[in-house]
Amino acid sequence: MLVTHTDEKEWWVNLLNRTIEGFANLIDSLVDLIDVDGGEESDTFRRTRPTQLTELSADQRDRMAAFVTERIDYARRTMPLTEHEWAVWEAGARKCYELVGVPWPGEVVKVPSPVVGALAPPIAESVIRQLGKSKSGISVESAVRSAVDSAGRSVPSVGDTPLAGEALYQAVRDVIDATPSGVFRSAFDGMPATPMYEEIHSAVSRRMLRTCFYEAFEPVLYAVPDVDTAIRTPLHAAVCAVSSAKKWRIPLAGRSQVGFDVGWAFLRDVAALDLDHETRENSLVIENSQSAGCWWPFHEFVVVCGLPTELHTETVDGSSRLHNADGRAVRWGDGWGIHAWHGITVPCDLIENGWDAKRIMAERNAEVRRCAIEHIGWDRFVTTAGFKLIDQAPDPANPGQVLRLYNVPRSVLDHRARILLCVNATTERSGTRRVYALSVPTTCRTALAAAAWSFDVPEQAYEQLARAT
Amino acid sequence: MTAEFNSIEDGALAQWEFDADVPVLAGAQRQGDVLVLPAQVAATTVVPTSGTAVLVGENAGNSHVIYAADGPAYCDIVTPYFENLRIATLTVPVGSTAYLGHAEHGYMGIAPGNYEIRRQREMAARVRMVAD
Repeated sequence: MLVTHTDEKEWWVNLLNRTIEGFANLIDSLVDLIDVDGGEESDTFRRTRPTQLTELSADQRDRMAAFVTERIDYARRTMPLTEHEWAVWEAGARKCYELVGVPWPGEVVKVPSPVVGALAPPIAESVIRQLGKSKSGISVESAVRSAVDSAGRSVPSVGDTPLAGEALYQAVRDVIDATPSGVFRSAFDGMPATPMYEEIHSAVSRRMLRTCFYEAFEPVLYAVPDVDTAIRTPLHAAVCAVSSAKKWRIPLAGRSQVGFDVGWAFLRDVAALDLDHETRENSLVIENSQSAGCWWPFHEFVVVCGLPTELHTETVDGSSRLHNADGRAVRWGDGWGIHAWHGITVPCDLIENGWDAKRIMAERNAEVRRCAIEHIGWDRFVTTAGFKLIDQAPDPANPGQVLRLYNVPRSVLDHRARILLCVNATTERSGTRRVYALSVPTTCRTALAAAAWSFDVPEQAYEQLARAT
Repeated sequence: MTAEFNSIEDGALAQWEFDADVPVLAGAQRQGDVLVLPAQVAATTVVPTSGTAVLVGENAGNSHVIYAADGPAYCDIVTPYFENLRIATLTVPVGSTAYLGHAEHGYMGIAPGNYEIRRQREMAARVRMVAD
């Protein structure tokens, strides 16, 4: 990956600014939620309207669960959009252009996967530049073809997916066709601000807002994996591999990104909030601009991605995260996708082929390294990587089985830990016993202490276990 | 939760009846990544005949479920966090027996008394619960 120092710095400053902005917004809303407890209203900075919504009717409360399920299905959808749904998206995107005061470009470049959408504009830009420079007229077709081929070599995930390469070729052609002047600029890089939120805020009580936050927004948020964040790093890396990092544009949200809009939608659609017609329409239309996949608005054209075709998740402690041990965790129409191990985005070959100890140790990202180890299994890794056995002890109430404590070299994990290998007390149907590994803190000096720590009980108590199965 | 448990594991559980092979004990017992530990607690929620799932397995995996036999038992579900691994409290009145059932690990008989049920944890960059 070619990232110059200044580009990288700029990217980080950009990210930092966004993060600070995000935190400021979050703190604002939290302060709103917290500072008046018990549902009292403060009128100091809020104009109270006579029809302010303060509670839900029994019927509205009953519809809460159905609303949540519907929004979860909406965000997790893996069926392609219909003609009509695309028209709804387009009307929403048009409205966003209108709100920021940029004329609607009319040219919609639909791409099957986010990587195609992220790569097409920078590749088109370089092709246009190259065509302008060259005197011996190369055809657009061959210039695009060679640029896409070279992108396939720089970005293996595209190179290994023939359909993505084909889609990229088509998208680059579309972008070039949409820009006769040969120059294009980003139209806006965030959702347009409207007075809508203040309008909605003033129409609901804080207690209502809190209900909405905990009962409508949070359940949806926890049930939908954060695909947009998971694809950001691979997309950024792909753009940096084919052009300057300056060409990286963070896509606008698609339907898989759950924002507090869910709360607004509940108030608007289910709670029949008293809003003027324009506010109601605006909030609906802006939401529609996020009803397809992620998108990139330009002055000359708009690039938009379709919905994924596969989504593999697991639910842990009540929240959903991406995970697929056998293939892509998210896959789009052209076959491009990302791999994830228990919520962590990992390289393709880790899942598809599995890494050996040497490859694992060469991985620089500790989180990915841990995923790779878990993928082959700590028990196997501990023995093949030759970790030092510190202590072993009979497993209480598990006759014949031994607890083994190993030291993990500092180079393996980014935190100090030891590994305790345990053998199941129950045999599998095949007659074998499953071996599993637990990572424990280095303060555990013996195997027994490590097992006791895992249940947070005194060593003596664990030693006196009456029965284990 | 319990409905899910029943539909997935009814068949598997059928081979395990509450028979004499399952010892009923008052001490600490471990079932896979779940520990039953005598404690000074008092649970108040009645365990229904379908059982109370104290830990639902990941991805349609196996759940650990408390059943009451011979009389009522009480089990309250608690949300664990890294400093407190308690996932449930259990009260078995004199005259009753509680069973902790799991499709792979079978049954564990729990004698009258008060218990807490703990989940296992491990050390990650941050401490996390073990996903069975």
